[in-house]
Parts: sequence; C-alpha cells; structure tokens
Amino acid sequence: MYVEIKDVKKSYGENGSYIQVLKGITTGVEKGQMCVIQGTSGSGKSTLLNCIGGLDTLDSGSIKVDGKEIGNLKQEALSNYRRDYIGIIFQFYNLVPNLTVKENIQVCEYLTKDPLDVNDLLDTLGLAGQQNKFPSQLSGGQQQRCAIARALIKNPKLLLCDEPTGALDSNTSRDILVLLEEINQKYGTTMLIVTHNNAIKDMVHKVIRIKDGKISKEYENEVRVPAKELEDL
Amino acid sequence: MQKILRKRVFRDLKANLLRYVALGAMIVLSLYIVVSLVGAAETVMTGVDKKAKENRLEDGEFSMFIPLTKQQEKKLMDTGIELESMSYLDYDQGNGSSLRVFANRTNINKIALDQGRLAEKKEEVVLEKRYCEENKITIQDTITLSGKIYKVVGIGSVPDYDAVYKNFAESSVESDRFGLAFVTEKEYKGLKEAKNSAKSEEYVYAYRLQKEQTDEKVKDNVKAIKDNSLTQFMKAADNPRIKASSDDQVINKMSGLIAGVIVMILFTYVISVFVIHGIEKESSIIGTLYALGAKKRELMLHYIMLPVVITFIAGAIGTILGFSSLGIDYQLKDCYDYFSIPKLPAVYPVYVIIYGVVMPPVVAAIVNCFVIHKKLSVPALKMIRGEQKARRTSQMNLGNMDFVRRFQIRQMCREVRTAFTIVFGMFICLLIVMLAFDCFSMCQHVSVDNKADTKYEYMYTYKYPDKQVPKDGEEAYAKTLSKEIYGYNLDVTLLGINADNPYFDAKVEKGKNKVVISSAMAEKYQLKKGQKLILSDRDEDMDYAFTIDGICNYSTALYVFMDINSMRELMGEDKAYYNVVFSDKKLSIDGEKLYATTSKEDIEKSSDVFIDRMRPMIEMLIVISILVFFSVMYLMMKVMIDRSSFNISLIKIFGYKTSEIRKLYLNGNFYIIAVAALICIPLAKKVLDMVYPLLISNVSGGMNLSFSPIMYLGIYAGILGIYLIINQLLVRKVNKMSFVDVLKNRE
Repeated sequence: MYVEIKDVKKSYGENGSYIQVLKGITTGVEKGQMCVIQGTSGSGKSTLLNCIGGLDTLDSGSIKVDGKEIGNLKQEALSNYRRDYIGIIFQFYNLVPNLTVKENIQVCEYLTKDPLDVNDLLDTLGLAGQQNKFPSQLSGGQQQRCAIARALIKNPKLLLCDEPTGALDSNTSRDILVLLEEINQKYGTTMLIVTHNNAIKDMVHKVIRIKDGKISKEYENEVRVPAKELEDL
Repeated sequence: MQKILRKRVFRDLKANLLRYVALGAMIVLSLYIVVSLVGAAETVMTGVDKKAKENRLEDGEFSMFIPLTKQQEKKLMDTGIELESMSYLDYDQGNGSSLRVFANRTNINKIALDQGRLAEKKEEVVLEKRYCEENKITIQDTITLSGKIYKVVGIGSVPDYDAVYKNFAESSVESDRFGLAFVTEKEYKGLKEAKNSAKSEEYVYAYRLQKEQTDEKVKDNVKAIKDNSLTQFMKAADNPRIKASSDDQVINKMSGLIAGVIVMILFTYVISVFVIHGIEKESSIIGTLYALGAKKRELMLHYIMLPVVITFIAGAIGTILGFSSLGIDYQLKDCYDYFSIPKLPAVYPVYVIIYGVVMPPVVAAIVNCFVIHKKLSVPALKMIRGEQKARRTSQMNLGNMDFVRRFQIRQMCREVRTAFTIVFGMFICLLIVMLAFDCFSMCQHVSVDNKADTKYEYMYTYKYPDKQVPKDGEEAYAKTLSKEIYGYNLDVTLLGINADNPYFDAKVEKGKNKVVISSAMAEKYQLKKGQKLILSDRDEDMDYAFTIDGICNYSTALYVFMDINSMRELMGEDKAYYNVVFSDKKLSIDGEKLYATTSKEDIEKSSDVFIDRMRPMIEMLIVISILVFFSVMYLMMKVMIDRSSFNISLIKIFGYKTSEIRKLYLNGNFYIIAVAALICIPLAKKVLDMVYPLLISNVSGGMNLSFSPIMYLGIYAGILGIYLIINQLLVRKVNKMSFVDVLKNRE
C-alpha cells in the first residue's frame, strides 16, 4: 500500500465540548490510484485527509505514506514531508492575489529540487493564455486550475483534494475532474479526493465512505467511468 | 520562492503607495532631523577641536591684580609653559554695546579670520564676527575706540571666546551688546595710556602646558611669583567661554540618537500593524502555502521584506537629506548665530551613516520579527480555516450592557494592538511636545521672573573697592564658587548681604555655615531647606559646606546668600570688606575701580534672548509632533476600518447609516484617546521633567518648568481635535466604501 492507515483516532475539544471525529479508521490506497473519500458533513472525511497531509495530528493509530510513518513527526519534519510528498487542493483556491497565474505556480516551484516544467503545466491545465493574469481576472474554474497547477508543480507523489469542485458549477467541475484524471494518467500521481459529490465515485479506482468517524463502506470500481462522461455533477 | 514573492512586495507597495509614502515620509523627516542634528553636532565637536589646535587654544588662563613683569613672565615660561598676555580694555560704543579690545595674539588663542587680514598698522582693527553680524559691520567700516576712528580690516573669531560672554557668570551671549576687537600691540599700548576705557585694564594671561607641566603646578608657580595678586585661575576645561559650542552639541547628539531609535520603533511598529493586518487577511493563503511545504522562516523573510525595504529607502533618503546643505548647514545656523566660531567643514561620521541607513531596517526587522513570529506560528489548518485565536478580553462577559456599548467594547478589544500603537504614538509625540513646552516654559519663566526678581537698577562689581560704600549703595560681598551637575561645573555666586538689604528677599542669619539659596539654585540642583550644600573654590582648592536655611525668590541666577559679616569672617576679610554694590539709581563710581556694571536693563534684555533663540526649535518640535501623531493615528484608524470593511459592508446592507457605523466602529477610539491622553499627558510631562535637566545641564540658571493649567488643557484639546479631524476623514472613506466590491472580493 502506498498510503497505509491503521486504527486512526482523532478527537477535538475537551470535557463538555469533546467530540471524537475519527473512531478507528483502517484503510489504504495503492500507488497511482485515484481514491474518493465520501461522507456527509461532519463525518470526518476532511479530518482524515488533513491527518494524511500532515496538517493535523493523530490521537492514536498510524499513517504511513510510501512506507514512512507520519503520525509521530515533529513540525519541521512534517513541513519537509509536505514539501517532498504532498500537493493539496482546497475548495477555495487561496491564490496570492497580487501574483499572476504563473507566479502563483512558481511560488511552489522553489519548494522542490525537481519541479515540473511550469510552461508544460500551464499548457496541460489550459492556462497558457492566462499566465499573466491576476486571480481576480480569472473565473472560478480557472482559479481552481491555477491552484491545481500550484499543487502539481512540485511533482507531488500524493495529491490531496479537499472538495476541489465544491465551489464550481457542473460544467467547470467536470473540466476539473477531467484534468485530475489526465494528471493521474500522465504523472501517475496518487490522489485522494474528499467530496460529498456522489457522482465522482464512478471515475476513481477506489471509494471509501465514512460515517460517524468510521468506514461504512469501502470498495474498488471494476469499471471506471471517464470523468467527461460523468452525469449529475 | 523569495524571488517570486518579492514581486508581490513591490506590487503591495504600489497598491498601498499613499500609506507607505506617508510612513516613509515620516521616517525620512525623522532621520533627516536626527542625522542633520547629529551630523551638525559632530561637525561642531570635530571642527572646534581642530580649529582649537590650529589656533593654539590655551590650556588655561589666570587674572592678576597687578600685571606680571617681563622677568616674571620669563620665569614662568622657564618652568615649561608657553605664556601670552590676553589683557584687555573694555570700551562702550555709545549704541548700548561695548567692545573688549586686545592686542593681536601671536602664539596662543590666535585669531581665525573669516574675512580680511589682521590689524597691521595704526587705527586698524579686527572685530569678532558675531558682533559684526549683529551690528551689521563689514570690512572697511569704522568704529571708535577712545575717541579715535579705527578701520575694520578683518573679521574673525578666537578660540578662547567661543561663547562671547562678557563675564564668566553670564548665562547668555548677547553679541549685539558685546564683542571683541584686536589691534596692533602698539595701538593697544596707546589705548591703555589714553585711559579712556570703561574700566581699568584686566590683566589676563593664557598658558599652554609643555613637557610635564600641569595646571596645578602653573597655579603654584604663579602664586610663588606673585602671591596675593592672583585673582582668578581657570583651566580651559572649566572655562565657560571655551568650546561652549561643542559642549552645547553633546546633548543634541545624545538626545538625537536616542530619539531617532524611539521614533523608529514607533514607525516600524506602525508598519508591523499593516503587516499583521496583511497576514490576517491572507491567513488562508499562508495556510495553503504551509500545507504545500513552505516554512515559517521563508514566509517570515517575505513579510519583513517590505518594512525593511521601506525603512531602508526612507532611512537612506533621510540620511542623504540630513547630510546635505539642507540638513547639517541648516542645523548649524543656530550654532553660527550664537557662538563665535569659524565656518566649519561638515563631517560625515561613519557611525551616523550606519545609524541612518542600517539602523532603520534592522529595527524594522527586529520589531516585525517579534510581532509577526506569533502570527505565523498558527498551525496551517487553522490558518486555512481563518481561525484566529480569540483574545480572552474579546470573549469577556459584558452582561446586560446596551448593544452599541457592547459593540464598541468588543471592537476596542479586537483592535487592541492598533489602539496600543495609537497610544504609543501619542506618548512619543507628547514627549516631543513636552520638550518644546518645557523649553518654552523655562524661557518664559526666565523672561518674566528675571524681570520681576531684579529689584535693583544697578549692580557694580568692584575690582578695587573704596573704603566707604558709595552713597545710596547697598554693599555686598560676592565670591564665585562652583558646584558640579551632570559633569558640568557651574559657577555659583556666594553673596554676603545685610539682613535688611532691600534688593533680595533672603532672610539671612548670622552663622558661618547658614545660607539661603535662590529659587534658581534650588530648582537647578533640586535642593531643599535643611539640606547640606557643598560649594567648591577652584582657585583655592577648597570646599565649603553650608546648611540651607531657606529658599528665596530669585530666579535670575545661581545665588547663595549669607550674612555679610559671617561671610567676611569665613573668608578672612576685614569687617568692612565688600566688592559689590547694589543701587536703585546710577552711582558715580570711577570705572577704573570696577570689573563690571550690570543694569536691570541688561538683565531684562538678556532674559529675552533665550525665548528668541529657542522659538524656531519650539515651533519645529510642535509641528513635528503634530505631523507624527496625525500620521500614526490616521494610519492606524484607517487600518481599523480596512480590517472591518467586510463587517461594515454587511451592516450597511442591513441598513445601518453612516452615523451609526461611526458610532460602532470609530467612536470607541474616542474613549481610548480621551482616557489615554489623560494618562499620557502627565506621564510625558513627568518623564520629560526628569530628563530635561540633563539636556540643559550646562545652562547656568534656574529652570522653572511648571505649566499653566491652560497649557495642559490646550494639549488635551489639541489631541481631541486631531482625533475629530481624522474621524471626519475616515467617515468619508466609510461613505465611499462599496459594499458590493467588498463582498465580491471576499472570495
């Protein structure tokens, strides 16, 4: 397994406001797989993604990525882990407003020794014509493409996407999913996509469904529907 | 990464150009003042030292009752000193001014000419430059000495009269009323023989030490040669006329350097508030960058770059301006208008360049690192979610307080850092205001009190007193002693008077150690009744200990009064001895017998010198403090509005009117400012009253720094006035705020 998750528990708050979000999750994702984590609001899917991304700590359990245990890493080591392994995309694009598209991508180019070629990436993501525009001059879909390019420039081994289409209309959502699919095929990037969008489950290799902090269902698609053919997005 | 992020630094600068230009301008102004002030101080201190060497400044001087003979002079020189007579004659000029005439100097205290040449022939004279400036005398003009007309052939200065005090005990230079003149030795002899001088010749000798000689040995040798004739012995270091311009600059230099750092901390703190505002606004972006592997130190470097760049550029511009002719030369103008010194070449010390160019970015980096560090230490996830750590104060329970009050308090708590910056800025500006007002207050008190306290019309200081006290005169016995304060030895006059004298309120009692001190003395040395007072006689190397029996109203000078008979006894003088006579009318006394005549008119005129001299500085300080306070308060209150722009837009959508928005978001500041001013005004006054004596430690006089209540009220009203103007300006900004844009730009 490329991502190996064993009995992960996570809670927030204390005393009266104590809430256990993850109640012993055990699962895994193979290298190069696209995996969707589904669940209702508050089910714990984003918390799991944040723990895998080294953004949040575990109460107990273990998460291994590429054989490396990340559950017990200190801040500096976590930063290095994120720098070397992880690309993250959020529902909101969080682009630097006074940097152009190309510059927003280049900010992360310097975080790795072996980045992808920025111009290739701009072409792949269909942003070549927008590279000198500022985020405020772009549509939501274009901004998300820019955020994806920023995450990909480091050539991450694991791409974590937290509701990547959550703020987009259905056509733009499809474009973004097609793009993620292409990236997966082109670069072999392992992807974990957190979404509440039920339609996305058909395009990925594996689906993990979480309910009340536990895995309620987990399966692999024998036949995948290409992203461009997805309906009801 | 930095390479790319650097681009946004300049874009941010461009986007907020007005804000940063305003701040930069304040830094430029501050550093311009500090660098020019310190540069001018260094120019004077270095230049005066250099000129002193070039013109062979004396190591000391002494006065004699009876002049030394040529043999006696030779005998002294044989002990290993250089010696030259600096004897002089004083002549009234008819226009209320007087000239002190010397023979040309050949070896010691040589004349530094600004124009023309030395007097070489009869009826030629060189005049001291400040006297010429004040009396509009130029080369080729003529003056009259002893009924003879002299042509001015040169204008210059001498190092032993850097401050052209007529008498050592004077506290201000009055170049319109007193100057120096230099004629050939032959002419000087002729003048002496004509006996038309205002008073008899003063026999003064200047010496320069050689080999292993010391001042004490010279003094002993003079005494050995002519005992009882030595009237005064003064080392150059104790001479208030020598290097007075340089001494005056030490305080400017130190206070300038310290003030510069304090103001820089204020401005960089203001910048850091902007940076923090930026970080809070960009928290989700920063969180995302963290999530992608960016490290805190990389972002820290990025966020301190703008403050460092601004302060560096502003510091460099301020330093260049400070060193330009608009800076040092401008600051030197005051010095040249008061002291008699040659034109000095400007110096550019390396430490001032480092101070002006390196200190601001370093302070900016330190202050910003300190302030930003915590903000950037928030976990990535919290930053992405925009979760700010709630301050304990903003969560406090406000009970059943009405909505507006509660909102205002919450807003104040949210903006506590910004409010702190306003209060900090207010305090710094109040220190500058208090410096100006202390200076004004002291000058005004000197002017008013001196006139009120001087009850005599004439004071005659004798060189050879008559046996009988002149009719209508009140005799006194004066002896110049000294007392040290902050490293300066100031002259203090011990004055023996009769208990029933009509000119002083001092109720002196018999007793060799009982004294009454003047209010000036009490203020200067912070003395109280019952305390011990030790005064030094530098001529005799003796200390006198007294007990302060009372304090009398006399603000004109540092006087210590005692019973005249007790003083005669203490000093070993005979029972009828006196050397000063006070009178309420002009007395007919042979000028040959006098050292000096001081009239009430003289004192009144000299009292106004301070306020005239200090007025430009007082005005400059007040303007600077208003500018700085206005800028800081405006920028900070604007940050408050910017930070709340989303919320303001929301409540505008809800239907709130501008006046209500003002009440909620701006008026809370009124209470902060009103209360802070009530605390800061007396605090700043207290702090400055403690520091001010240090700044004027070389001024020989009292320092009544008390303010009238109207001055305090004026300062308070001024602060509130500035607040109201800014409030009005910001209300206009709120009116212009487009809530549609604000909401659209939120994401």
